[in-house]
Parts: sequence; C-alpha cells; structure tokens
Amino acid sequence: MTESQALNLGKGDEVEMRTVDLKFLQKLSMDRKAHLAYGKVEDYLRMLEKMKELERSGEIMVHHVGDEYEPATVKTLSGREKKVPTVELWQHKSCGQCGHIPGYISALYWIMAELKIPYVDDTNQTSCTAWNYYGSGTSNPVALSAVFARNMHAAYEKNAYPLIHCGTSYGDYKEVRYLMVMSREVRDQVKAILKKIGRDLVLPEELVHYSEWLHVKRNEIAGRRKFDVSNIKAAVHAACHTYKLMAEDFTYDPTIMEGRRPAPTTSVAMALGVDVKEYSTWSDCCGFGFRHILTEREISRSFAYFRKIQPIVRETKADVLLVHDTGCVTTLDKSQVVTKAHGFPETIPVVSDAQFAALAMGAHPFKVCQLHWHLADWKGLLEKIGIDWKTAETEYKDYVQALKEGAKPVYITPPPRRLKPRAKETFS
Amino acid sequence: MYVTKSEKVTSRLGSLNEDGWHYSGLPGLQWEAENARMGDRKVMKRIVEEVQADPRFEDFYHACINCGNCTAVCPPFRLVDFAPRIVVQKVMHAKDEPELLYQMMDQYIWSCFQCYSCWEVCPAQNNPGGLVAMLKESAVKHGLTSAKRSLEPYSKILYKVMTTGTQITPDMHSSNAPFRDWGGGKADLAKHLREERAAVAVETLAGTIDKSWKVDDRTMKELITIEKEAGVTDMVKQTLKDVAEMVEEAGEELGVPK
Repeated sequence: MTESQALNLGKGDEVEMRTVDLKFLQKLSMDRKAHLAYGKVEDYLRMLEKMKELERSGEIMVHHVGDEYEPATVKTLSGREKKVPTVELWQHKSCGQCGHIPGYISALYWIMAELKIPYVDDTNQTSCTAWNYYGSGTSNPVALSAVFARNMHAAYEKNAYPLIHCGTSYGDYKEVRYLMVMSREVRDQVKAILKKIGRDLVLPEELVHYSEWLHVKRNEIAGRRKFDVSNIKAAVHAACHTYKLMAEDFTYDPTIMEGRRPAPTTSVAMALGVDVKEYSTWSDCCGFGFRHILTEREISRSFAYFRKIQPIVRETKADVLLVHDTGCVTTLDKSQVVTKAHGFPETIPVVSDAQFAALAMGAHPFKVCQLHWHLADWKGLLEKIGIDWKTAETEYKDYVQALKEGAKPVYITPPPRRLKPRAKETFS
Repeated sequence: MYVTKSEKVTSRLGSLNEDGWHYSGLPGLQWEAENARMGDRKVMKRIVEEVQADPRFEDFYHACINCGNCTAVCPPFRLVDFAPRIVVQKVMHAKDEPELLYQMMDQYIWSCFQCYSCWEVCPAQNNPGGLVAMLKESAVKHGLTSAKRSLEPYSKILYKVMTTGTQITPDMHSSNAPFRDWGGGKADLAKHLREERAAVAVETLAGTIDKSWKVDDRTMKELITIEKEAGVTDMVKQTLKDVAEMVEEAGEELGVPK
C-alpha cells in the first residue's frame, strides 16, 4: 500500500497526497525559495565578492578559514560551498545559554575535548548584544557592527576561528557583516569606534554556527557512541535565526531529508541512528520573541505549547525534542510547566543536539550535560537510552558536596593549541 | 475636486471607533488613536525621513504586493492583533501619511517576535521583521510612550546586556526573581544556586553569578565605549533615563568618560 499524508492548505482544507509526492513538493518549494529570493542570494554573493575587493584594496582585513583550521566543506541554501573550520576554534558563547542552561556549552566542550579539538574559551568576549536590538530596539546598526567587529578582532588576535553558539548571534553577525561590507558609511563609523578601543576591522571569511560544526563532525561523533540510541524517536526544531535570518548561508544537504530541511541537528541525530520524525508545524518558531519570553510570557508560552510541544507529541510520539539554539531550548523547555498545571498532558524533554550527542557518547548527565537545569522531565529519555541516571545523580551530589568541603573542581580541558596568538592586545 | 492631505488624515482619524479600530470596525490595525491625535507632526515626519534614509531601508523594503504570505507564517498573528503585511503597507505609505506609521509604532510593532519567518517567505523580498526592528529602534530614540511602557519591565536585562554583554544571569534565578512560573524544579535549583553554579564543568562559567560567564573588565570597558560612541546610551536615555545613567556610572568605574 502506498503511504500517504495530509497536506494542510490552511483554513481547515486538507489534501491527501502520497508521502513521496509531498516530499517532492517540499523539495521543490525549498529550491524555489532559494531562487525566489533572487535579490537576496545574488546580493549575498555580491557581498562576498565585495569583501574580497575591500581586502585587496587594504580597507579591511579578512580572517580566512585557512588550512590551519582543517576546514570541511558544506553546501548552503544558495548552493555556495562554505568552509567550516574544525579545529582551533574561538568559542563565541551565548548570553542566553551560559547563565541558566550551562549543559548546552559544557556538552559541546566535552565533545570537543573527546575528539581532541583545540579551542579557546575567552573571557574577553561579549555577546552580540542583539538580544537588546531584536527584543527592544535598544541598539543600532553601528553599535551592533562594532560589537561584532570587536569580538571578531579578539578571535583574530588569539589566532582562533570564531564558532558561534547562538542562533541569534549567528544571524545578527551575518546581517551586520553584510551591512559593513555594503555600506561605506557604516564601515567608516565602525572603524572610527574600533580605533578608540585599539582594534582593527577584521571580518571573518565565513560565519559558522556550532551546529554546522557538529554536522561536519557527525560521523566521528557517531563512531564514538557508547549507547545504542536507535530505539529513540526525535523531533527537531531548527532555530529561525539560523535558517530564516539571511537564509542563504545555512547548511543544507540533499542526503539529509532530501534537502527539504536545514541539515544540522537532524543530520547528527540520523548519524547516531535516531529515528527523526517530521511534524506539521516544523517551520514554526518556538515562540521566544526576545522581550516576550521575559515580560509577556503568556503569548510566548501559548505559542510554544500549542504550536510546537502539543503537535510534536501528538503527531510524532517522539522521546526528545532536539534544538540548536539557546532561546529555543529555554522557551520550549520552560513553557511546559504552566500548561501542565492547567491539565495539558503533552510533555517532551528538550535538549540541544550537543547534549544529546554527548549523552550518546557516554557523557555524565549531570556533571557534563547539566540536565538538572532543564525542567521538562528527561528521566524517561535517559532510561530508554539505558543511562543509569539515579547512580549519576548520586555521583553528582557527592561531587557538589565535595566542592563545598573544598575539593578542587574538575573542568573540561581541551588539548593544547597548535596555533600561537597573533599579536599583543593594545587596548588599555 | 480632490480632498487635501490634511482632510484625508482628519477623516481617517475621525473614523476610528471608541476602541481605536479603523475601517469601520473591520479587523485591521488597532491604533493608539488618542496619542496620534496629540502627536507632533514634525516628529512623525522626522521618523519617516530617518527610516527612509537608513542604509538598511533599501534592502528591507521594496514594494508590498499584499499577498499575505508574511502574515500566514507570523507567530504573533495567531495570538494577538499583529500582521507583518500591515507593517509593510504602512511603511509603503509613510511618506504621504506619516501619521499612519507613527500610530503603528506607538503600540502595534511591539508584538513582533523578530523571528524573521516573514522575510523568508516574502516573494517581493521585503523584510517586515527588519522594518519592525528599525521602527522599534526609532520608537526608543524618540522616547515614545509605548517604548517606555514596553521596556520598563525589561530594564534589568537591558542594563545587564549593556554593561556586561551577558544576561539571564544565574542571579536572576533567585527565589524572588521573575521566573517563578518555571515551576518547582527551578525553585529547587534557585535554593542551591551557588553550589550548582560552582559545579559547572566549564571554568569560565563556574561560580559566576552576576554574569553568564567571567567577563574581563577591559571587555566591559570596550563594550560601554562602543555603546557610547555609537549613540546607544543617548538613545536609551530618551526612553529609560535611569538605565542609561546606571550604564554611564558603570562605565565611569571602568574608566569610560561620560
């Protein structure tokens, strides 16, 4: 019997299609999307050309993804080949993750340490500050560009390639790099500000999100798994700011869901052997809304639950929701508490792709993945994977107690770097 | 033979009903009617001129064909009175009717999630989310009442980002912090925050409470300098004066002159 699915046409209309036809339609629509955005794709490629011209004329410096970063190549929505650095990474941390979902970052660092990837975790880093811009209009293009440029210069000094953890920083940096290359006015203002803080304008050749790094490392990660996760069903939520904000430059792969969805995260789960499920509201945002998650919680929570959590659970019966952005983890995880209190039964654990991959590789669920900072119940997931979370919890509690009694903390440590920092920092 | 522009505007404002709905009560834009009536036309015109002169404008706005694709995928549209199509339409007519843009800026735009789903699907390559971001920025710069109202509960985040470049810091999870609806699990965590934070296996995060990670003083000094030089501190002063002054004080402590 031929498998078929209903395609929602809106306003309650549905049409029954063979699944194979539906997938073909979605693929066609993705191709069309790349070409529909005529101005966008061509302008973006023109911007990359102009960046090279500006470098040749000495107006800017470009931080290239050279061989020292052992790059892998991926294809983006526009069809362009993009270089993804794999070693000597400058970790651009996310303001939305480090304070309250620390397992997001510790899981990523743990994977890198396991794979012997040298990296820099710098205290000379600010967030992109675009939270303020998108959330409240309390920044402007010159400030956002200058913040981007200072962070990129800090990475350049360290001779490490920026790897951006946050979807919003990734999207914002693509926007402001575009603006700085295309607008002399903005560029000149940024250069004047950078001069005041003793920095130069160095633009990265490629802007790379951490999920793209996981994507190119997926087979290596899968080769090191300690647990068989082929019995796990997962749903994936891709962050809007990775694949909708300057959509041209995010990674797609025809072998991952026929290129109908962005490749990262889904590809990692598939490489690990997970059964990745589709659902009808795949393209919807998580409901985060920046200011809304903080000060207008009802709208954020309602959207997250009724457009994401509930349909995901009902349609896919997935064991876990995998996400690659900090705001999305927060919204989707935290929005299940009040709805549960109101009697809505659907619930699903929400973790990042890095946390899930680390768990499969045998990372400690508390010491490394820090799952106790997550609110939706993840214990069932761990039991299904075969992880003894009770013993792990006891080990973690003992560790916390030992720290209280003065024991030395254990930190994740990357292997020694092969590249030396470039220059002495000059700002005083 | 033709109505003048001012007659047209007066007539439109007059047709708002008591709830501020236009177009004879048909679903549409909910206006801050009273504010618009009292608004300064010079400010309204200046806002339009600034928006149209912005280097982002020609990339973000082309011409709206009214297809509604943007609204169909807009998350807030499902729950509140907000449609990105309306935003682009008002931007399209802003030069002739700056009042329309101003009214929308005074409340309507603050519903946008800035997810950019609208940008991805627009066949005319408009970027409604980008236009909203520009308009929010303008609302803050001109100290609009709606910007003050929207941002007051947000002051702490604004201050944290402007001074440390980080936010949602661990100290915002204490028992009297604004995350009580995150349930009992979060409350338990808040009780043992310092211990839990000390046990994070990343050295730059471990033990940090008032920031998301350890940030060098020099880094914060650079950040505050950028905000000052780019005009952000002055802009915020128009809407949340206290926050801007606190940022300046923090900057002075780090050696950034006022």
